Amino acid sequence: MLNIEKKAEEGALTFTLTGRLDTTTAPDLEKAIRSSLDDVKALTIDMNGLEYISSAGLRVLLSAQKIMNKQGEMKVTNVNGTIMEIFEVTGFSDILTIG
Amino acid sequence: MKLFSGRTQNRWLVLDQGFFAMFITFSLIELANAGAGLIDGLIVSRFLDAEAMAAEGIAYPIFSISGIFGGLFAAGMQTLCSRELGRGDVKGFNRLFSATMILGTLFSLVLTAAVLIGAVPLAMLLGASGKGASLTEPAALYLRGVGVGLPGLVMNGVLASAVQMDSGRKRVMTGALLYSGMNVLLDLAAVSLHLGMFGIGLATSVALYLQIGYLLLHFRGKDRMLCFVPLKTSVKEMLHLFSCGTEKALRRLGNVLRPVIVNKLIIFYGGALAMTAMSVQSSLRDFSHFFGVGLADAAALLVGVLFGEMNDEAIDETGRCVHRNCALYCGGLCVLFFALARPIARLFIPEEGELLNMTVFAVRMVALQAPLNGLLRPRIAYLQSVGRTRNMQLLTAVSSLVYVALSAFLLGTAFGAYGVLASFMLSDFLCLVTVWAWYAIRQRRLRPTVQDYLALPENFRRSPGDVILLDVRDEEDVSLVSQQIQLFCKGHKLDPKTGFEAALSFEELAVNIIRYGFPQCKKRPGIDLRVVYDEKGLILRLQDNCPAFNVERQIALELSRETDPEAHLGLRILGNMASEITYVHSLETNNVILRFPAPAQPTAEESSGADL
Repeated sequence: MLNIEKKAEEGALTFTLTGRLDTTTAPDLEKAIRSSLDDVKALTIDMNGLEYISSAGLRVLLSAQKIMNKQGEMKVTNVNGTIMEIFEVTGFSDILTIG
Repeated sequence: MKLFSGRTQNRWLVLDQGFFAMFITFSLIELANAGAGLIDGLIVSRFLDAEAMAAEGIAYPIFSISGIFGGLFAAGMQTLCSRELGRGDVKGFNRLFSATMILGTLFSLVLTAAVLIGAVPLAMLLGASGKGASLTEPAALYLRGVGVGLPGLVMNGVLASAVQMDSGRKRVMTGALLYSGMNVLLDLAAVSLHLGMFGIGLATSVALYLQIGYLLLHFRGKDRMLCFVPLKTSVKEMLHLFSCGTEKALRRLGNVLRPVIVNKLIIFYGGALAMTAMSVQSSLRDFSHFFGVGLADAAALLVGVLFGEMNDEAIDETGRCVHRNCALYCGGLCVLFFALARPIARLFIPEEGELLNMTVFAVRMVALQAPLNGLLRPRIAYLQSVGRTRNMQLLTAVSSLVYVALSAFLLGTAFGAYGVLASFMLSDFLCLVTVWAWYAIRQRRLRPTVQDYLALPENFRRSPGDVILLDVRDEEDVSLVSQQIQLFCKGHKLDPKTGFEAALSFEELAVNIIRYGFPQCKKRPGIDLRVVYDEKGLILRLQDNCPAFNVERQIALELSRETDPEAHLGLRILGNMASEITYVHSLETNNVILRFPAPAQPTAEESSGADL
């Protein structure tokens, strides 16, 4: 189960994630991000409530990062220790801006 | 555990499919061998003279005698190697296989030399003496021809079992058909070239070596795990291997000794007429037992692997598979033989009269014996696979000899020749009653439970709370099971990081199988998951029935090279999460074992220090 909260503010967009970002919930996040990125200059993914992430979720983040590289910047925040370890072993900690 | 409500599919899909495929293969192999034996006899009787037929009959026990030794090597190797596979120890599997092949071949070469040198005295020992002295020369010639192939007989038994375990089921089945076909063709060639009895024997030997050649082609395969390694074993290990292989050896010993007693009794009560009916019954019995042999061989192989894995739930399901297939196939054969007893008997005895009536009765006894044998043989094979060697030896001895002789004597006294004809059926029935009585007395209850019959060692069964068994069919299942694993770890007070890593590893692997393996699967695809918690940590075992994919090798490859971050992301995560990954492709299933050690618990001093 993944809860996605969206907050848009003058070219800045924040997604707050709670729950599990896995193979069944990743398509929901991808759909939500892709449909909202027009004219967005700063994208923030707040992982404060995220308990779990799999490769499906990582691919969504990577896809969002690629889009944002062309139109602004993307930041991932409030990453817990276990998920940070996943970012590190996959090399995502070098690709994403983690705050 | 039933996690997915509303599902009507079989929970044990992968296991049931595997068992059925092995059962059919082993049954067909047995059928092909029995058919080849029948045709072999027909060729000798039709194209050579009556003396040749008698000489072949006299020398024929050489197959049972060499089969005793071959059975020790092959069945022993299969029992121990299947356990190694269940533990995921491929090196141990190859070491045992190679040692058995080398020692079995050396032993059979000695046996060959003995048969070639001592063919004449051996023929005399087997019965070509006294009134049958004229049969000494043809019997000795036949023995020499067959003797050349004895190493082939032993090697075939070992190789066929090992190739079957290494997912070479179809090759083993084709090899058996090749042997049967070539045996018949080479017999005909020997007849046309006037090679006499030596040629007939040699034809069998050449066919055996052709079968070995075909089985050895298995080693050309890319994804095989089976390979030859240098000899490394001990006398103790070989003795243990032989003790595990005694089932087939004892059965063959019974095949040699049993006719001596039963034939004498039937001749005593019914003369030559009854002996003819008994001969028809013997031929049909060997033929009709192919389903029983198939069930026994499949059960032995699968239970051996599951025993090594310490998977009691799957062993229980294998027992149910045996009973279901026995009811369906042996039951069907029983109904068919019983209903068609008269037309079948007429194939052998065309004239009406007492002999035909006796033969019809004999055929009906074969029919009734089929389902009993279909339960008894797998039971014996099962006891061997779960290490109940003494029970297995006892049951084999009573079923192969003691009960048959006792039944023949008692029924013969009461009903004459007809009674002796019913003795094999009664013997199997008595064996099954003995199995029931054994557990009823030991457990002191009239209806022993399934667990009683499984007779697994005391420390074998895990607490139900320490095991998860689930089947996975799609990605929605994956998500649910992944959460289940995390909850399972939390329930066992494993640290959240281990739970996270186990759940993630499972998800990555399962999704990979579903996306890339399922579309290529020719059968109904499925993943069988077993999660076990013990004091050392957590073990995940995923088994799927898709084409071979060596995930262990692929992960090592992915971790060793710099790639696009998106490429094989799942496998790279998997490689970094599990502390140990073992891959075994066995019995046409991919088996991946992931281990997650439990972090060391802080000592009392460390804990108090932390508090301070």
